[in-house]
Amino acid sequence: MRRSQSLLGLLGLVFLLFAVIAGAFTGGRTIIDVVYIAANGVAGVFCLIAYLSAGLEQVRHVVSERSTRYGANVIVGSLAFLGVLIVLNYLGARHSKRFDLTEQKVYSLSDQSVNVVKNLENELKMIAFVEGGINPELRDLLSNYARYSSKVSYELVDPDKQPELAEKYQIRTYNTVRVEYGNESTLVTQPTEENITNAIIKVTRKTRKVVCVIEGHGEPDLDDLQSPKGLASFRTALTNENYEVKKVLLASEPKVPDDCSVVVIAGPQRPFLDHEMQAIESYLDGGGRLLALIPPRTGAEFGPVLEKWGVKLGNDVVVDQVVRLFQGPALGLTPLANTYGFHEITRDFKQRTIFPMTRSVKADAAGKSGLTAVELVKTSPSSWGETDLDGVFQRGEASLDGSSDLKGPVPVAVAVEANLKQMGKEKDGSARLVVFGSIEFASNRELDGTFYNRDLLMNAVGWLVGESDLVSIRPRGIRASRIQFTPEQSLMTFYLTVLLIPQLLLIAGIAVWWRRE
Amino acid sequence: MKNAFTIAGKELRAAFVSPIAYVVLTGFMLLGGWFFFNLLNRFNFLVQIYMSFRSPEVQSRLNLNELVVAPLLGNLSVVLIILVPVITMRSFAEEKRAGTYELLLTSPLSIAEIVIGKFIGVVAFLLIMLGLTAVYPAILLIYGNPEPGIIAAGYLGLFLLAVSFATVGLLTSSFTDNQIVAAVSCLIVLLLLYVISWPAETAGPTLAAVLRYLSLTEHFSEMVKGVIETKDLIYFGSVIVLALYLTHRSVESVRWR
Repeated sequence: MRRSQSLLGLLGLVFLLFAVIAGAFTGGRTIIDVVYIAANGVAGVFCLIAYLSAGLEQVRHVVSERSTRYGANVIVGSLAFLGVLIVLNYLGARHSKRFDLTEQKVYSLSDQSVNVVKNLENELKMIAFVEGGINPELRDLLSNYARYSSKVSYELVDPDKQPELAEKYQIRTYNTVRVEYGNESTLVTQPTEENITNAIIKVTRKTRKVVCVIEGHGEPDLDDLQSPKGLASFRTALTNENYEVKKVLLASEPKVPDDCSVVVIAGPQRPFLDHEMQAIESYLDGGGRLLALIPPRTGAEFGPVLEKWGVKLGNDVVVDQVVRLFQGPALGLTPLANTYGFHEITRDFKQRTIFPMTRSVKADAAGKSGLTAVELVKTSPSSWGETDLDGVFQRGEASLDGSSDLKGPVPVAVAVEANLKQMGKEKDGSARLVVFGSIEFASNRELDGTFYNRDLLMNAVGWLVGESDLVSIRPRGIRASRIQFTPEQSLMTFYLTVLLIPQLLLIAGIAVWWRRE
Repeated sequence: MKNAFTIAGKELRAAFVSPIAYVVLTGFMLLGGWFFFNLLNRFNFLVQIYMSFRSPEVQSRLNLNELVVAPLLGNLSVVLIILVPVITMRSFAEEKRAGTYELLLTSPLSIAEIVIGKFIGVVAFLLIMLGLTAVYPAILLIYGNPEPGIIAAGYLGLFLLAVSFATVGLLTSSFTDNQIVAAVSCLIVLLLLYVISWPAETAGPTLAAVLRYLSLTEHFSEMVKGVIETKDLIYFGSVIVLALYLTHRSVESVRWR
């Protein structure tokens, strides 16, 4: 066979090879891909036909040659060998054993998480919304869950490339993980192992916790999505965390319904009736869980009741005029907060929250047995609780008056744990309350805004319903290590590693070279 | 097997009487020392900075494994990509050029013994090479307290990576009588295996998984983190076995071509 003919054969193979590579990587989506693949494919086939048609006789001769037979044998044998290795690798990848040599098992799930995952009955799907669709650490974490159960699947999605998905699931920030189990789902905004495992526990729980929101006193509407002061976002946040939200018209009920896991009083504009107040009190006496959001100039009837439970509502409004500097002409009635008390709700919480139109709420459990009250949030030292409400709301002026006003930092939320026995009640167990001095804190605008009100509020709800079955997993990391040198030892290290070892090797090389010459 | 060791010994001696071994070792240790010393310096600098900032939280995250050992091994792996082809380029190409290839093939040795012998020779050389770098973790363990488990896993990864590189080098060397061609084609294959997973983040899920699996880096970086998975061992084993098998076939082909 002539050389030019073998050239045709080789070229044909090259063309076909590049057609296949282009096809595998581009999938032939654009016209350029199609043209490139087609051109290479046609050229390849054409070359091969030309090569073969150079004379079937010659081809037959080549085929019958010993070397061709051996060559074909080698190719077939190699492909078979490769096939075996591929199968081996495929099986190996599916049944891989893992040895985590880090001292704290950083790259393995804790026993609690493994238990949770192994007990899954249905498919669990996790979708992580990460910037650019890339986040190796989160991928590692999620793949660890999938490792322990074939029921777990996960994917990483770039919310900017799939905005419709992000919109559908109400994704607001990067690194949010949506955990889906059957019809239940929840969002995890800080995807640590602890939070993801707890989310899995929440969505797989058989009975749902019921959040009862009291209505009938001019509260902002739970279904109001449009107005910035509506509460639809709060409702969505609750549903997302797998709570059932129920509106309760307490005025027409003899008592708080039995199925309520937590009762929410969300910014009543008109006073509660006496029998409503009694219902709330007896609910608390029986170990109830209450979330109260009571803005300034409302809810006077709650003052004495809450005081019994260690919470003191201030008859004031918090003003922070330093904030006003950045906000244009206003009295400064939207203080920011980033100082948090030591409590389960605010554990690891470092973000800023905003409290528009809030009153002060102080912990006042001194001398009352059985009560533990913690001030959750404090506004900045430059803020104060303005008691001259007429001045603020009618004349539009506010100034810190040393004698009557409450100097900052002003507490604006309190959490109370009440041991009923120690309080002298007949029942065992405990009641829990969280009181915020603002309702706008939980409004659509602030929950969906740039501050972290949603997380704080949902933490509070979570603590109230006392999710005792949730686990706590200590975050693990590679142990911190130090190295200590005296300056001489450091210099010695430099000499040894950078100079001496290479120098000795070089000298040995020169010696060998010199002897050989 | 005795014959294979004889060949290995001969290979190793040949390496050490030629200047290549010394150039490679000197260069490797010079770069390694430079990396190590500077990473260590940077680590101390960071520790001092955060001590002066009084941020205990950041301090508790500073550790020698992540800030010194992992980048050191990563850098050494890149240097190996360049140096291993230089070590292996001679193995068959030099014999072909010098005309000793026929002698070797007509000797009573089996082809498997020849290939395995040369393989063992290269592995022994790599062991010496990586053995010399053990001085770095030794210094860390003497003066500091890194986690030894992670270092061990990382070194195992680096060793398997180097051996995989070497088998690819043997294969390309068996194809040609030109050492430059052998070294450069090995370098290209290794670089390709190193970066093949780059488009994975944007590719479809199946293709991404395949590309990621093919990439040497993915398997290596797991081990550098301190995680040894059987699938990574199987992957490295497969690369080594496949390259040796193909080398065997390539050497054998002289007999019938």
